[in-house]
Amino acid sequence: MNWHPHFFWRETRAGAYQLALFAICVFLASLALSVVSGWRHSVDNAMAEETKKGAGGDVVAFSTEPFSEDLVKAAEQFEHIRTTEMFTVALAPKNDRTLFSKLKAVEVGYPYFGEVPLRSGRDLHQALKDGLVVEERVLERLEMEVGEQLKIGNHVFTISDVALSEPDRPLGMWGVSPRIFTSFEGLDATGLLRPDSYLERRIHIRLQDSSKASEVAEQLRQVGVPDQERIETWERPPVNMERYVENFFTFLDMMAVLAVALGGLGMRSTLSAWLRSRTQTVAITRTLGADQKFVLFHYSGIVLATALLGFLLGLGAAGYTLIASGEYLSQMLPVQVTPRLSVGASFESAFLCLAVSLAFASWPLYQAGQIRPAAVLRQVETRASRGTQFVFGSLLVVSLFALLYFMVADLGKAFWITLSLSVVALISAALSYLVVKHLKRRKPRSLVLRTALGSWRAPEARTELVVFILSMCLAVLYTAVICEQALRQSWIDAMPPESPNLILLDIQPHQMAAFRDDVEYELEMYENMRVRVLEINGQPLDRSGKREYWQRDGRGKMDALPTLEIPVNDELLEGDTLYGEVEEAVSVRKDIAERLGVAVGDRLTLGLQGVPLEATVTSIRRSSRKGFKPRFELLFPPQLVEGAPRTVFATARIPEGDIGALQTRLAKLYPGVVSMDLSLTIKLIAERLVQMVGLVSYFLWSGIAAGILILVSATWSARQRRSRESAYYKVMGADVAFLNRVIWTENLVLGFLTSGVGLSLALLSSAILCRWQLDVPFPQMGEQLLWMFVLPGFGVALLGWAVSRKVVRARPAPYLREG
Amino acid sequence: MAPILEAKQVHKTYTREDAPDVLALRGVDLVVQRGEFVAVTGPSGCGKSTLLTVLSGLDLPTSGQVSIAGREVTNSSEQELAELRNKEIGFVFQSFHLVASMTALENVAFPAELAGQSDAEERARRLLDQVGLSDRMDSFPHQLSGGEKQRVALCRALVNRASLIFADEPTGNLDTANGEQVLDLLISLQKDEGASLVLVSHSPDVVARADRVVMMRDGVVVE
Repeated sequence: MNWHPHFFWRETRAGAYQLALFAICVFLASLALSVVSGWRHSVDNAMAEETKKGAGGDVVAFSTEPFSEDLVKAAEQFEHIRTTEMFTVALAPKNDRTLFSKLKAVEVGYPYFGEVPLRSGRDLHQALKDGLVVEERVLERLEMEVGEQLKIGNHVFTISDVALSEPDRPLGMWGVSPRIFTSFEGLDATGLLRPDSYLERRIHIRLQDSSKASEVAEQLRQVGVPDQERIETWERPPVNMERYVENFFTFLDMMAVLAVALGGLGMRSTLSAWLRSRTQTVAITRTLGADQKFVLFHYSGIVLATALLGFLLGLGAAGYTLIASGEYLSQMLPVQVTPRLSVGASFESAFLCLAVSLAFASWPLYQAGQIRPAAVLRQVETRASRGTQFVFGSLLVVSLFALLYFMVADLGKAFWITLSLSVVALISAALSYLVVKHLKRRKPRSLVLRTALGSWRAPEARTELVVFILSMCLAVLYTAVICEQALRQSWIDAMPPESPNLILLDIQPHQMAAFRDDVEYELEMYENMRVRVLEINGQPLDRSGKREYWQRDGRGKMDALPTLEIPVNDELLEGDTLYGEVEEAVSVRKDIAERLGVAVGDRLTLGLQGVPLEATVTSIRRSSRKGFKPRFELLFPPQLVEGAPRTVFATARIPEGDIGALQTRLAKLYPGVVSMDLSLTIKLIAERLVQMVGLVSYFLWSGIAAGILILVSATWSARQRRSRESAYYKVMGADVAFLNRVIWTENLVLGFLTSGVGLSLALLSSAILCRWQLDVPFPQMGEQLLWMFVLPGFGVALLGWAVSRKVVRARPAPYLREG
Repeated sequence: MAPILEAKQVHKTYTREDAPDVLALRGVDLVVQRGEFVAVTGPSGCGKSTLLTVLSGLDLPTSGQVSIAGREVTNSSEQELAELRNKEIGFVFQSFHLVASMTALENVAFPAELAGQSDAEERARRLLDQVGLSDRMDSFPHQLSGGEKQRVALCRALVNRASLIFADEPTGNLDTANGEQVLDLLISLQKDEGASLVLVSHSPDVVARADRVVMMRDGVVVE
């Protein structure tokens, strides 16, 4: 095969505009893929590096109860240290300010991996001999300095130093409560240690040979209490962190693949337009003796070269995005990340991007190869058989599925995501096609409107495709926005006035009456028990499989409330009353009942902190998340669980200005009680919601850009036709004003059609999500919805007019000359 | 009665980059009376199509004056020219130049609708019926033969009762039989409507049907 550089170059120049649009579509796909790939590689590396530090040892044992003797004995065979963490309220005597914080007691030797650098440069344990070591935020919030006094529990400490960082506590969303370090002696002195206190206890083990970690962990699991003591190794990050990161990237992968798919449609459309414009050239070349291979070789070469250019530009932009996104990513993820575009990530995205580009380019190239010499003389249809069209269509779906599978590395997930995206795409395509077809058939009375809609009948108009892509992007984007609004209105903005804004934890049962009097505000107090389901109808629950999924499957510990009244946020779904006439009764929340597969009448065997209990399921409830009210998986009649261990927590609605003073007073009267101001949590949730929508928008704007490119490409490729039509209209007496009205009308109809279809799809999908997934009411969004409809409508109209306006001004004569 | 068309010392020069200017028309004078059929003929490249384009206002002369129905075309605004084309002038082209996305009926009715005529569709139907296309009204141009397309173009040119029709090689892309049929129709409709016809052709058979023949060579009228 001879390569003809002149032909290659001239054909590239002749199609420069359309090829530039194609390159931009590749750029968008490359940007999406490279950013996600770069983020993932960076996070994987960071987690691998941080895991050992994050774990705090080669093997770490966790428990919220005191460790069993057997486990302690087993751990003592190895080099080990202990740490214990708990939430507490610190009080500054100098100004009576309080701070909800996390206290951590550490033994000498901590940390095994990484370090805790102090402001003074001293060693941590040296400083702990003199008092507490605190995080900078403690000093800022309490307006204190090193050397001043801080009261925790019953003891007043001196702040001896400031910790600059902590190796096993990532920043970002996990760092809500500031850190205070103490020794175990200091912890004892606080007087906060009680049998029922909620403590996070750890034993950190350091091995001579880290590779033996799994072996040692298994030994410890054999002797530990299965449901109570969890053993992890440095080889895996903490389960919750791993799951969160996994879900985060699954979501991102989905967004990236959507952006790539939409960009791919842009690629296909722009290439089709370009190759159609080369029909005469190809036909002439064929009449001169070039064969199909010649045509495919040269045009594929042009496509590859352009795709490579687009990819490299995308890679560059991704590199910049990654560097700029470090802080953002660290806020979204529980690990400190410095995102960079690694060589591995670059090659990965190069492979994916070019593979996808070729998949989308295959159909236009195939069609170019089918152009026959007779096309020189007349328009010859190169319509492929249905079978061929099906094959190429399937190639696209398979390519996207393969891309998704490569990224999420889970066949099931890849299948379901592909299916979901395909369903959304099909609905959007069907709606777009039907509406456009209906409009094309209409013969409105208005000449301007009729002329405008008439131009959609031209085959190269691509109206259905433009409407489909833009409306699908708008649908996904608007769904995210509407759901964010729903969550915000439900959880944050529209919280009823009586919703609690203060939570008080670790109240002792015997303190309840006095506590209520001392608070002087109305309290809702809840006695909370931690319960686990052991058997259902005599059959033990299967506790095989990953422990981290126990909570998800209903096999983990649950919160239970002894009460005779149905909680305010609950409604009965089955059973006329909570317990009926049954004494040994339990009411189960609907999601737990579904996960465990239990129904009314089933007999449960429960473990209540080691105390067995039998009860019959007498009702099933639904529990709403409104207003930050506590939700309990199980409810018992109080007499059934009398004497069983429990903790008490309370919620209250306090005037904003009184919260601080109340917290101070309680810290003095009840040093063991932890008080949490919910406004910070609410602020954090709101921030995360906005960030998630921002993330969705980032990728979807790529798709919207692709849709706009298709619009521009279709309008550009039709300019000859449009100019000719304008000339004919002028010949028949139409003036410039008429032609402008036609163009504006056509593009306004297109714009509002797109935003209408997109918004309709978004309303439908967000209504489904709000009802079935998020369990929140559909938000009030009257004015916003109007803007969501109007703005894209005008945007598309303006763009369409901008690309077409020169056509209106062209003189008719050049288009009417013969020959 | 005043002539329908007057052209005085019309020059048209095409300027090209890196090539000498092309003097397409060099001082053409022409008068066409109302109801007259004038044929413009000459060898290829003599400027006859350019003359048609300039006379009809589709292009502007480099110098000289053109008046149609008493109105000076050369100094008219786009708006005025548009009105003139809609109400006074009809065009028939060699390559038909029908709007591809409109049916035959829509193509014919369009100028009348532009003029605001309430009976535009009815008039279009009558004209199409007259030329034997009553069963092709809802067809698109790509569904019509060459002869059928040219008949649609004829109807379109006459739907607003134009007083002046410009035809540029109207039979050029048609076979002999169709060409004769189209020419017969054109002349017949022209006579019926009382319109003037300026027709450009290099075919002696076509030219022979005219009331008067204008011969051009190298941008000037020679007889």
